[in-house]
Amino acid sequence: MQQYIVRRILQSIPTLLGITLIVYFIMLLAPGDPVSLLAFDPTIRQDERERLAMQLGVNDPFFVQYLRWLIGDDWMMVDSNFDGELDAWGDNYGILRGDFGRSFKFRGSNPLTLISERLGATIELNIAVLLVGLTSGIVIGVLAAVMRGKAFDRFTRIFAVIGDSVPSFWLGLMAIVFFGLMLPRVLEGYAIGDGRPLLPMGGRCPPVRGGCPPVYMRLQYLILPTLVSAFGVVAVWSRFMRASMLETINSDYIRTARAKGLAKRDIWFRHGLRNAILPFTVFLGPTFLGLIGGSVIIERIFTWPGVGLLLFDALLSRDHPVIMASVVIGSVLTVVGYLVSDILYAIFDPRVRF
Amino acid sequence: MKKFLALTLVFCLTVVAPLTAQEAEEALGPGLGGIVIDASTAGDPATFNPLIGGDTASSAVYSWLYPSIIGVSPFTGLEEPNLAGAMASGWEYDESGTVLTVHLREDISWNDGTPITSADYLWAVEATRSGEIDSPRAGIFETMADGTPAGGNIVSIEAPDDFTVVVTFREADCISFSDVNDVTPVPAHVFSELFGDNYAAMMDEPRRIPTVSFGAFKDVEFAAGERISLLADQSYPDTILGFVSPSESVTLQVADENVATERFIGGEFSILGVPATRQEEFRTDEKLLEFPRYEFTGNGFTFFGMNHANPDNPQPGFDEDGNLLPQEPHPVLGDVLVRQAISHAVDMEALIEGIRDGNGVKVATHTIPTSWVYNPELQYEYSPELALEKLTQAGWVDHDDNPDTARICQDCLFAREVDADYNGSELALDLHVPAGSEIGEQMGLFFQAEMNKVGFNAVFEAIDWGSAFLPELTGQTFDMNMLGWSLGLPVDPDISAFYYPEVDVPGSGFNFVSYYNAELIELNDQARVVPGCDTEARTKLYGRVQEILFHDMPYFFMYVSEAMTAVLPGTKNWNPTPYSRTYSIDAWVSPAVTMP
Repeated sequence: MQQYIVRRILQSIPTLLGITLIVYFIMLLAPGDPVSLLAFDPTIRQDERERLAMQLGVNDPFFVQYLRWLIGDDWMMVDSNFDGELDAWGDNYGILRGDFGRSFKFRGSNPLTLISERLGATIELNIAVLLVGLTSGIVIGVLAAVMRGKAFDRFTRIFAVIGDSVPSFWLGLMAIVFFGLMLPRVLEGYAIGDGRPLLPMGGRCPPVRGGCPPVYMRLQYLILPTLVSAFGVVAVWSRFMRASMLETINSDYIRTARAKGLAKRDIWFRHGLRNAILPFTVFLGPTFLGLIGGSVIIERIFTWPGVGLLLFDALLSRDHPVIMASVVIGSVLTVVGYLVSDILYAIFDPRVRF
Repeated sequence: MKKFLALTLVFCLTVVAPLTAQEAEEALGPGLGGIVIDASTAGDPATFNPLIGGDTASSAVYSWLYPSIIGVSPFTGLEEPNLAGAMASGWEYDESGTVLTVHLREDISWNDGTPITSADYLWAVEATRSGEIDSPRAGIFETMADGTPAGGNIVSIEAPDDFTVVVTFREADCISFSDVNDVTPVPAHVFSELFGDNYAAMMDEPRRIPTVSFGAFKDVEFAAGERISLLADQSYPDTILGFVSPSESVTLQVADENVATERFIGGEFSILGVPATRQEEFRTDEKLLEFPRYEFTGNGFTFFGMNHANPDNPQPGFDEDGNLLPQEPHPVLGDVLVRQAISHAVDMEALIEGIRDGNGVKVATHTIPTSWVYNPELQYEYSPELALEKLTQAGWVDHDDNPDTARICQDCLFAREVDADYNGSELALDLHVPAGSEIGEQMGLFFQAEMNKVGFNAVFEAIDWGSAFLPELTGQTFDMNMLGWSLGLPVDPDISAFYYPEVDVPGSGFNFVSYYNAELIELNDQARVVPGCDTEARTKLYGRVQEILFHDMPYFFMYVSEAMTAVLPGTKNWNPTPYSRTYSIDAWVSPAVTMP
């Protein structure tokens, strides 16, 4: 197993480098440049814009920019006062030495700092989505398998199609309008409540000083983004669970259990469920990573202050260092996520050996 | 299922409802005026340091924390002495108009008790000029500290005593007066202790929380992507009531203006800049009429930029030796008659009424109705007949007697002056607006329909701002692109940033329409050096400037938006002005917002 892990980690190094090279290339290839976006202001003089372009290094050729980002520029002479003369050693160390550069948009902030101050919010939301999505998905999938062919099963099938098809940005806006405005007004008509939103329409914490209170004191902020984000997860996982459950229930050892006269509940839930759930360990890592990707939309709609929102803004403003930092972190998490999934599978299923 | 719904409802009402709808006790006194909560779509501030900040989100925060050297009146949009939050008590120019002496108030202090003096301004000036910090305003100086040319007009800034600042300009220039305000004074005793002469150190911690400030609010608390909170500063001397009424000012991030509007209606925000698409609701909806609102003419205008030069061959205004570079004309828009025909073809009143619900005032030049040089007599005349006449006159003819097909060139300007083979080409144009604005897209479609009625083959498309619109606009490869300018403060009709050949630079310049008129530049130059910047003399010159712009049409000047601000019912002492919706905020008594 140890050899396998080491091999996988070594294999991931060229993969990660390849990802960064391709993403950097695509990023620079995309139309629009950071200086135009940062300084689209007629009161900023032309020479100031040129100076800004030199400061950011965005006029350099692709490979110079990429190398500077990767290995830094402290080994080369740079134009420190932007007068056209190379007069000092560079002061960037490059990402291989832990220097993620400086954000274009956020006036020199370290991208890692920007990401770390938002990572907690993204993880918090995604854990909530996983908890709700997985538990609901598994329960619905099992019940659909138990009630195969009945009304509930048919309903969940339709639900799965809808859940997988409905775009989360639309569902999010509908949730805001329904819970924030329509339902309160309907209830007010019945003298219930005062017409104000039943659930917060955005944000993560109450707008009070002293920092964000612990999550259990602000659960109401999690409800809408979690439900909207979990909608698709429940749909997909319930179908997986149903299929896995039916496959398990038709296996020989279940037939043997039936022949032995075990109670139905024991057959379904003690023997069937425990084995049917096994393949899900493989999906866990990728699902979590998929949610982080999907956070961009959910965080935008609900103003959830996570990494997704930061990445969205960085993409719009062509903030190259922040985009690349997000890509590096996302890539590392992806590699680690798949590795953990494989290891978990080996732990849970003794038949699997690497 | 009924049980589930009932449980959900009980959950909402028991867990959530107790946290909502807290009505404030309205009272008048220091910090008793409640919490003011505003919404922002501008994103996180990049910094709280005014010397390295330049984005809207940052300046929205540090404008509460630092004084300006010269105040701009929230009522007139012009510089005035002895204004709240500003240092200047008066100023005068010498006879040459190149030396400005600013006298400072002696009655204001930072909130740690240290008097605010010229040293605070000078420290900020030296830091900006050092070249060590990433300042977007270093270009106001003629040279940087090391002698590198910076392109600005300020030669030096000196302080003969604690309450006098002397600014020397390279040449007399009325618009350079506002450059003085581009540098924000900071508490020198704090900044020099923190950074000394190592100005670059400011860049290492752009979001350092200011500990000493001057303004109605202080003590920034920042939650990334979410919230900025400021506490009332009762030591602020320039309050309206003698104290700061709100206890706190909070700005919450929101995804977009529609979400902000819904949350405001739901009671989550104290104040809202009502989007144009929702203003009619606030005027007519019975429930929304409860919200006090203030309507005023916005400080900016929307236009269709009309490229005068050939988009297939963008050229700068000057060549490498600084000589004026003749531009190859745009095949269609290069002819002023065609541009004027478009002005007659589009019914702007119908556009404003039909698409903008009447929200907007027609304009035909770069000045807006609230400007001191505005000339209301200059208006485009809607007359499709006149448009047809001008097109024919310009050599664009209806070759098949079918008004539904596009006209073709028959000895039009481009065929006459550039390429005779152009004869027979269609009167075709691309109209682009930035994607994402429903109203913008409707206006683009309206222009397309109106222009096609008089023989154009106009093709409208909404395109992505960052990846398509901006590159083709600044790259000067467009035909007609719609955009809006916010005019900023102080209000000044100077046009050098938009129509001078110096800023006709493909890729980055703001004369992206490649417009050039020698008389216009001469008049504007004259207006900038009027002795004493006399308003009457400048108005005369800008009167002629407007006539030229009206005739030449570098832009199809469209309209000025009618802006609307609303506050929660029950808000007291709210006294907005055309140039500041939060003027008098230190006197507000704001009802409690909903806190789900």
